[in-house]
Amino acid sequence: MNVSTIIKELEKVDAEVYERLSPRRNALHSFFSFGKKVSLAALPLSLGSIFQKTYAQTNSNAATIDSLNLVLALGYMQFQFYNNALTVTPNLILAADKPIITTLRDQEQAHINVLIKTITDLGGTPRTAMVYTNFDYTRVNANVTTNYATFLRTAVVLEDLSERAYKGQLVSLMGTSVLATAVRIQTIEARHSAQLRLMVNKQQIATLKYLRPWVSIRRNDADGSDLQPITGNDSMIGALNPVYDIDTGLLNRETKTAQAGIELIGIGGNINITAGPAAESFDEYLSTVAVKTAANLFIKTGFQLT
Amino acid sequence: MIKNNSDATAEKKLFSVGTIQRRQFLQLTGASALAMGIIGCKKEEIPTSTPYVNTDNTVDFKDDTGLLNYIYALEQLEAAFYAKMITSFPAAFTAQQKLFFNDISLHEIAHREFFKKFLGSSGIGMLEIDFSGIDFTDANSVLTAAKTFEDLGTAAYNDAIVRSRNDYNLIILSQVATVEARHAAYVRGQINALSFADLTDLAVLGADATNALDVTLSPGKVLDAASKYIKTKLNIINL
Repeated sequence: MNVSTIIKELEKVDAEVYERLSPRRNALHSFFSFGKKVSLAALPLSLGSIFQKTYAQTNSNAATIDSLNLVLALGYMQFQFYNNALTVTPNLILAADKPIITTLRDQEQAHINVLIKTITDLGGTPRTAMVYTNFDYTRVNANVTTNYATFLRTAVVLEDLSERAYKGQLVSLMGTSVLATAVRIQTIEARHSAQLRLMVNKQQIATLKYLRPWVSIRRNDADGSDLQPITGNDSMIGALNPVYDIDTGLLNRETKTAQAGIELIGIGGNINITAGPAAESFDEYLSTVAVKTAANLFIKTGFQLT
Repeated sequence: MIKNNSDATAEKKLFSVGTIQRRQFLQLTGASALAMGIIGCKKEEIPTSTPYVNTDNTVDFKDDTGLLNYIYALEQLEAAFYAKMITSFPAAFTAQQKLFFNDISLHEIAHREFFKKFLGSSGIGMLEIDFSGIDFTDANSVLTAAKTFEDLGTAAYNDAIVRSRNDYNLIILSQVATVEARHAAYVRGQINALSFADLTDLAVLGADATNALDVTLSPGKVLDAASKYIKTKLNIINL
């Protein structure tokens, strides 16, 4: 165990580590001098407790509540979108699809309810309810309330954004009772996205004839094969690239084909696993900052997430 | 401290790729003294420890290696199912169904091969699978089996994510969980257009319709359900 290595690693993510440790210099000093007498097995625990004390102020319900309030905003964003269509422009929705849109609306309402209750139970303050007019859903196309295909394409993006947002908060929720709830909501969002993507596919829009229920790289409209090079997200709308993390680097973009340093294209000699299926087989997460940037594409000035 | 392969990989990635946000990292350190200890061991290889070699298909739930082996077993099952399906689709399948089930088959192979590499020598071997109860010529039989595997897989992942002790494994598991959920929604939609997220129907797998929370099932229950398809004897301990 090399303590200086640990400190150096900490410094990479926390430039103030020495400052933080300073008041506890005595603790560290006694740790160093006592170190040789402590069994190797006990070392991680004693060292861990020092760091736990150092960083104890960041380990509070506040971070959990922040995470939940972030995804709560996305819950409102989705609920208002579906609810407006069902109550204000019901003729927009194909009659056969109304039960599906109703399910989506109702499940988003349930998520809002469970998030509000959880935040309240933790002693936090739920985000103020967001109403339809707080949002601007016309970013895909202005005809989102008059064109069903546009409506569906926008819904796909909202669901993908929400799923990616939940995934990005899971580590923050690790070790809390809330983790299980968040995990079980994110797979619902994935189910929603898959269903909506299939409904978009059914519309056979010129550039989206091979849209998949799973987030993919662009597919060739002639035969469904991978379309390379990767120049956009599979919604085929460049303005929505932030939702799929296309603009913020290669790390978490939905088109990435390697996970944990393991390349998936052709893995295990399976040459049929090309860039498309490789990218589809893992969903990616979005950081908190990236979620806010993407969500604000659909939120009016004055109500944006900061 | 003896580390399993996945933990070692995870730790390496955790720092080298910078996947963890600073705030998340601080929470992690604050949240668990033990986690801190594990991370602290990163660069200090213990020369006397030898890599664990899994020789008897052991799934030991005492740590994340067992958890990942459990998931690896399920991925082997799913991949084997679709590999058989795509070699001879039911005659009733549409061109789109063939296209999309081929996609799913490739995803499951990718998952299987990923976990095989991720686990390395600590991974279980290739399992012998038995699908004698499934009629692969009948679309309804195939779709029903696919629905079972995908819903069960989603339930297994959702529970495993919460059990994972290493944050990097948590991320990996959660990345696959939603893909399984997408499969589940698609397959369910092929049987009944409105059932993509029928949480009342899924209550038996732990879904909560009132709060719109998806399925979640403990490894014991999942393994019970999956055991009739897995011929190889798994050495399951500390469950």
